[in-house]
Amino acid sequence: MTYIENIFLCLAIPMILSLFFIKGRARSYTLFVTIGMGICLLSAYVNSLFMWLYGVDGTVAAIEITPVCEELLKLLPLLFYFLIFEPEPRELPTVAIAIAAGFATFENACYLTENGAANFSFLLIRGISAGGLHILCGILSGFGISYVFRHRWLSVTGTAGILGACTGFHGIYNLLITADGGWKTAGYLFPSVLIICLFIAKIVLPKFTISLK
Amino acid sequence: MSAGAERKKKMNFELIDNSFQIIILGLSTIAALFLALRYKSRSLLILALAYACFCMGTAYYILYLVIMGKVPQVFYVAEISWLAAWLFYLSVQILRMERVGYRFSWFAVSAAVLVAVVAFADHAFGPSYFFSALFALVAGVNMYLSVLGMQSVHPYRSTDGLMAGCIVLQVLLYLTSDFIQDYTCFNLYFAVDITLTLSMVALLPFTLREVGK
Repeated sequence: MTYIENIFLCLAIPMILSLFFIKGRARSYTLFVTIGMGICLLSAYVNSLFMWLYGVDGTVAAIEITPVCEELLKLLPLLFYFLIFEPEPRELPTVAIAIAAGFATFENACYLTENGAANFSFLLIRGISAGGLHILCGILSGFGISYVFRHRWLSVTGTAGILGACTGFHGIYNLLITADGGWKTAGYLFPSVLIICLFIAKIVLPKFTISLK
Repeated sequence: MSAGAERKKKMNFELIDNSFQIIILGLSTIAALFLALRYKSRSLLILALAYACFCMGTAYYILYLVIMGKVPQVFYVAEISWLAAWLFYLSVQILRMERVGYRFSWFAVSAAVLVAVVAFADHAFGPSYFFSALFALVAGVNMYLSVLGMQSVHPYRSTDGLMAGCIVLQVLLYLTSDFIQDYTCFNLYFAVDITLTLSMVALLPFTLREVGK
């Protein structure tokens, strides 16, 4: 049995304490990373509830229930921040990435507690792919909501669409890594390859803007 | 013939059809993304997201079928991804109609209600009432905007006609599946599915023509 609440306390308390002594963007980033960790804890409870409700095992839950619950719960604090605090469009992607990073960090910490930290090469690959997946979803949500769909009715259809896109992407990743052989390798590789492509695009197209016409 | 070989033969044309859809829509995603960067166009960027979501939905469905040997039973991740694609198509139409202007039309309302009722009554998106209702709503609103666009006086009414055609084909696909039991060889279901795929792809040059002007 993994006591994820205890792991959460150990990881979150130093970050929460640091919030009293730092200011500005570093403070916001730390706060949203901690929120991401909290969302990961919450999604574990929600997943368990649906697993019990539908009477399914861990594998089916990871493939069918987890992507929906996790992506929905990750979007909620972002939407809350967007709708209540009305930040500048350029601030939202950073917030979405911070939530995703916090989520991935806590998920990896729980994975290490459950499966041990002996296999360096596997954990390196897992760290990159799971981190890459959540951060890609964060980038899509952050940039999508703040730039592409920030416009009346478009914000409703766009936000719901982004949630569906992240769910599909996450679902394919979970499906591939729960399979054996080549599928598993492909599952671990594709978020890593995509995040590298995105990083290259960021360097190659530094001044790119969508004119929103 | 062994049970495995029998199942492989039975899934044959479904695999071919879905693989065709994944490849074509995957290539369309790359093309739309490239053109969105080239023309700095939001419509093309949203169209790329729509193609990517449809492609991911089909990829999840076919991977689940290949890896698990059955169709998803709990949460319908593939359907969520397809629904996201339709939400993005709706976003494209909202963006287009904001330039043309909204008004009320009884004919457009009739077409929208007809599509929504047929989609919901047929339980297009699996046994879940929630997803069927959501798809019916999205398809209905998209149909309303497309028919409104066709009735308006603007030079790109053919794009609206094509979008309306895509919606009709999607609903027709689910209607056809009610009458088809054997997916081993080519039949009406696959003819509709391939036409739908090609019609969705045709939205790219039509949108590009509009953006280019």
